[in-house]
Amino acid sequence: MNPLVFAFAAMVALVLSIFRLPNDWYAWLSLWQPQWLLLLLMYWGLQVSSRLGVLWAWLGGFFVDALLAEPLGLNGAIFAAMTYVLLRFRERILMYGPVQQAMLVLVFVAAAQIVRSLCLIFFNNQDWNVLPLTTALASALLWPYVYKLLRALEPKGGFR
Amino acid sequence: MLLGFTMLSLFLAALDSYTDHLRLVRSTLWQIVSPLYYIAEAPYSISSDLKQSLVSRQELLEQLERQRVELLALSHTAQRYQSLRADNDRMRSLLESKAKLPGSVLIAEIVSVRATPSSHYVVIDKGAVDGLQVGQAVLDAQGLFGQLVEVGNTTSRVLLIIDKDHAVPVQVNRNGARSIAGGTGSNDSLVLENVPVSMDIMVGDLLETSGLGGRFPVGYPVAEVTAVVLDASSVFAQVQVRPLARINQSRFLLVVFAASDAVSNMPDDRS
Repeated sequence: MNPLVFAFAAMVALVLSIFRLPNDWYAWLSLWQPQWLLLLLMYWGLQVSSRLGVLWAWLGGFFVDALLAEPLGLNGAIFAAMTYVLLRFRERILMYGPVQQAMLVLVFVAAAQIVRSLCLIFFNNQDWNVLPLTTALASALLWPYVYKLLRALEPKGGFR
Repeated sequence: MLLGFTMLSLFLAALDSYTDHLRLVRSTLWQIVSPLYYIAEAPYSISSDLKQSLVSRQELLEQLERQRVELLALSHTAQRYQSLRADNDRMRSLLESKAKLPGSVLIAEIVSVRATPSSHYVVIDKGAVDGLQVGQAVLDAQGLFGQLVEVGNTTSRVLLIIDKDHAVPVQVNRNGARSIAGGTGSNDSLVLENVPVSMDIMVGDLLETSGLGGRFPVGYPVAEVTAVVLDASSVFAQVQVRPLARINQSRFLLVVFAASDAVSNMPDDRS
């Protein structure tokens, strides 16, 4: 994927991850906010990333930490771990159908969110909540469409 | 390799949470990513601008009238305040204590709001170029709103008093009884920690900042007591309080500059 296109997609994902719903909308809707960054990261891990992907993912995590006011390094660790697993099993995962992939996304995002919640409880004195499950479900449901969209942004030459 | 990354991350996270060493890294990163908040907030700011430009003349006139009445009432209060303050200063000088100097304030607009179940903060459009520093208190028109936790060049992040990670030393306006008001994560309640059952506190009491701890200036309203529950099985009373600041509605905030560097014209304590 063209680096510029990817940078744009990353920016859109960052903006979407801090986007808020209007005050007078139902509060529960915000519980179902998909994890755009993790979706993009999964696509990147499966289709774009090379050997150095883990390092890039780790470094990129710092910007997310600064954006979301989370302890520095938290998102880096999550991103790096996810990229590592994705790179390790890339060929196998690419063989899966959309439904299987979506289920995998559910597991990945839920795991990532649970790790994040645990760290926030530990470092930032926060409470446990249902966000890991709801956001993971929303992300999994959106995965096939995000995948198709990002796939359409790839150059048609067939290389990667 | 992955283990190394994870360990390093955890180490950094701990360093970041419990010490101050990474502040420079944080503020640099914040500098880079904070413009994204303007983009994320654009739909709201554009729509509110549109709404503003489409207000009818009639509505504007009504608004003007309302504000005129408000201004009259406030200027009455301000006149009373002047004489009360002079009185207060005189009495304080009789007691040979320093005069309480009101700090100056800077008006800032909220750029973005972030409220997840786990964190509550807002981003404002003022930063280091306006002289802001980490730790300054932030008010809205009604009461204490939060404090600055991250300052970039032109934007800053304000941690709200209702965040679970936030606590503010308070005193009861009526009798000076002290306590600490911690955030609960919900918009309309704070909790007083470790209030002994013998403490003189009643429903309707006003809590203001006590200035202890040195972070918040003294005397700004924080919350109102809504319920006091005395449980025979506990040595502490459970006190529910409601923050006075309009956490959900305020658009403009005041950043307070502490008055410690201002010159006092009152006699200092003579030894």
